[in-house]
Amino acid sequence: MPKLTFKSRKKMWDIVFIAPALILFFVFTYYPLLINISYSLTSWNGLSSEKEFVGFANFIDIFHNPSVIQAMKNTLYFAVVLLIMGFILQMSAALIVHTKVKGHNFIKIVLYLPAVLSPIVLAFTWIQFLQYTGYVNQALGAFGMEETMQNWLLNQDTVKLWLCVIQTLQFVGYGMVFFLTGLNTIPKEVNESASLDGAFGIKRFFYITLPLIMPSITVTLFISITGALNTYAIPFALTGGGPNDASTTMTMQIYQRAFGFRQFGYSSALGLVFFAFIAVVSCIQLVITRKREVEY
Amino acid sequence: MCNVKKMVALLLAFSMLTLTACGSKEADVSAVTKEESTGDATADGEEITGTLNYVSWMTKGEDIPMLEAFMKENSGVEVVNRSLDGSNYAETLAPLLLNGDVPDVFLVKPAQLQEYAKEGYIKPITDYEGVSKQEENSPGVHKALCVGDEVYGYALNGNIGNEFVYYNKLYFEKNNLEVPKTVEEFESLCAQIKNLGQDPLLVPAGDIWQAPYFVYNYVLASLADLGQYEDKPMAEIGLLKGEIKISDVYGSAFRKLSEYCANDWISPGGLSMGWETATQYLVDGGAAMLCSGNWVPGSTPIKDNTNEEFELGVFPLPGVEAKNGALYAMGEADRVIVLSGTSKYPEAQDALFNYFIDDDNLTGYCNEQGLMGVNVESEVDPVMEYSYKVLDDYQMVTYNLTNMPTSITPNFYQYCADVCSGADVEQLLQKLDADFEAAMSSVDAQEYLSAIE
Repeated sequence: MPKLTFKSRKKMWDIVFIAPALILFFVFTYYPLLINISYSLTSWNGLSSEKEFVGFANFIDIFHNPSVIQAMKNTLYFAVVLLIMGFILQMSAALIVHTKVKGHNFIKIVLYLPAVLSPIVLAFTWIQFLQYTGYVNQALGAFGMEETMQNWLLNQDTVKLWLCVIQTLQFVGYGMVFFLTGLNTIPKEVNESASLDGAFGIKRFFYITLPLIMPSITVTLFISITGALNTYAIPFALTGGGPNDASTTMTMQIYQRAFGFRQFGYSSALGLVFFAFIAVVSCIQLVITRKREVEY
Repeated sequence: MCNVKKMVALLLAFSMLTLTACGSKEADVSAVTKEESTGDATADGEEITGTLNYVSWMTKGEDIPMLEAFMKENSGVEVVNRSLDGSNYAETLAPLLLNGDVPDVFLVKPAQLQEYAKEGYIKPITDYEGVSKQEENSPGVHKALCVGDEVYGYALNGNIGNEFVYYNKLYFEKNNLEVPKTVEEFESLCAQIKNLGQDPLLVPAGDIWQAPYFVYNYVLASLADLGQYEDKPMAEIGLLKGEIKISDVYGSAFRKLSEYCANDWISPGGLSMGWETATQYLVDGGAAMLCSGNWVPGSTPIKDNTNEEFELGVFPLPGVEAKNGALYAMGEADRVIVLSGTSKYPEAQDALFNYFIDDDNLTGYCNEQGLMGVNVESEVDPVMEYSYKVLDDYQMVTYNLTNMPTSITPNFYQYCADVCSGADVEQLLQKLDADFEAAMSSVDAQEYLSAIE
């Protein structure tokens, strides 16, 4: 029996160590995914033992279903608004904290705290503000603006924006930490040289800071995009997807199709299509932001 | 040393692989061991032991006193109580059933029972001592809880005429307002109250299942017109055959709700409140009337009321005359107790079931919560007496389309709330039809038709 070389032995040990993790990953991630693919080709109702094969009918119907299209539109709205609002607030908070302003540690804690709260708890707190007899309307009443008082979460035109505000505020601290990590990695010398060359304020931010923290931006955007596209808990707890489906997201639609309508096959197809969509969007984002990363 | 490290690493890796491969099996083994160690009940009168899962939608802990009393009496049985959200009860229960985690004892609504029985998730209780009472006490309810020749559920309580209107007697007296007896009188009352500068009606749509309460009478009249209460449930047959649409059943209710909203008769404040908050709002004078169920008189805001300018009054929401001239009200089971067919502790399961349906226990359960008993005589709150007397002249019918799959209208409550927030009624009715079609696409309509016919 030929003796194994050092390289071969190392490879063998690598496999031994990696295999358990890979097996777990396969069993709990890829196996359900594969099962999902098989369900998506059936009209299974989730309770019955019979699964009728329907081919690609579920996939075809997805693109013609007004409820799904509405949910997709809402999800895209959430993704875009959450991304923009989140980026601005998270970056602003990171820049403020990075300047070591007095009480910056306290600010960090205050901003990060909501991120560790359950979205359901947070949602019920916000109800106190947004219901008809809530603080927002009380404030409007105090300023003599009774005519603008309304059920903010029952207004089709404003509900999505309120949900974005709530979700953005929850994760300001979370994104801030990533940006702060990036800001802390910029060497002092770079900033000093920039100052000597006359780069201050916004100019320095756009030409020096932003390119240098691009790796942090890549990670934060990746997390934000996937998080925004998977928005579920806050709309579910606050509006249940209403009014008139104005705040139904794709994940809510997937859940409801499976457990509300008992369309497990359809729901599986919906999940797969949405999975592919998120994968494509995330890849595009990674390609764009990675290209802009600079080395120094 | 190097070899020892390798050996340890190999051992760890092997252990992980073994755990991965045998994880589920190990769980099963541990469960069996527990069963063996605790030992189930024996036939020779030994103490009953076991751990039971009990699931209901009683999120305010309503069933806890009953369960604690049972555990006190049966110290060998531990009951793990789990409450699921009542607004999405069927949806949240479904994953448990699918994962084989069927609760040993659980509560369902009558409409759920048929489906669970057909799929074998619950077992028949026909031969259980005490169940025969149900057939004698309430044959209609008993029939609704049967599948074929077997009975699968026992009604803990029921609702008669879900549509009660609570009001402040002192406010009515002060403004010379009369309790209405007809729909026209009720609408005129709303207009009068609005003219007095007060919001007439609270619809507590924050508890989304209460959003349609106010218009159930219109649904009942529509169902009657569609032949639901004839010898055969013609409305359900029509729906299953595709001869009528679900919007034909709910259309008049949605339009009436929209009309009330357009007239500003429904308080915008109440729409984001749950029923208990809305009751407090009524006591505080936020609106003149509240439409809700028969549990309001026993609620904390009423019991703890210190407002001297408030005295609770109730009348039933006037019935809507069907084409045949009859007035209909709901009379149906509410909390139905059922048993899993796969419990590991069948004797403990039976003991808990028998404890629940025991006449004394059930009477106490209903009285404490102000519930109307179906199989026991429960106390009627004096304030409700007038309403029940009025409802005596109505025809009691089951509203739930019990012969249909439970998933036909998962968004019904939400759509009612949407009507209140100004959504277009016709658009919502179209959605309701689309939802119905989607739900029916995954069931065999013919099977349901055969069961009815």
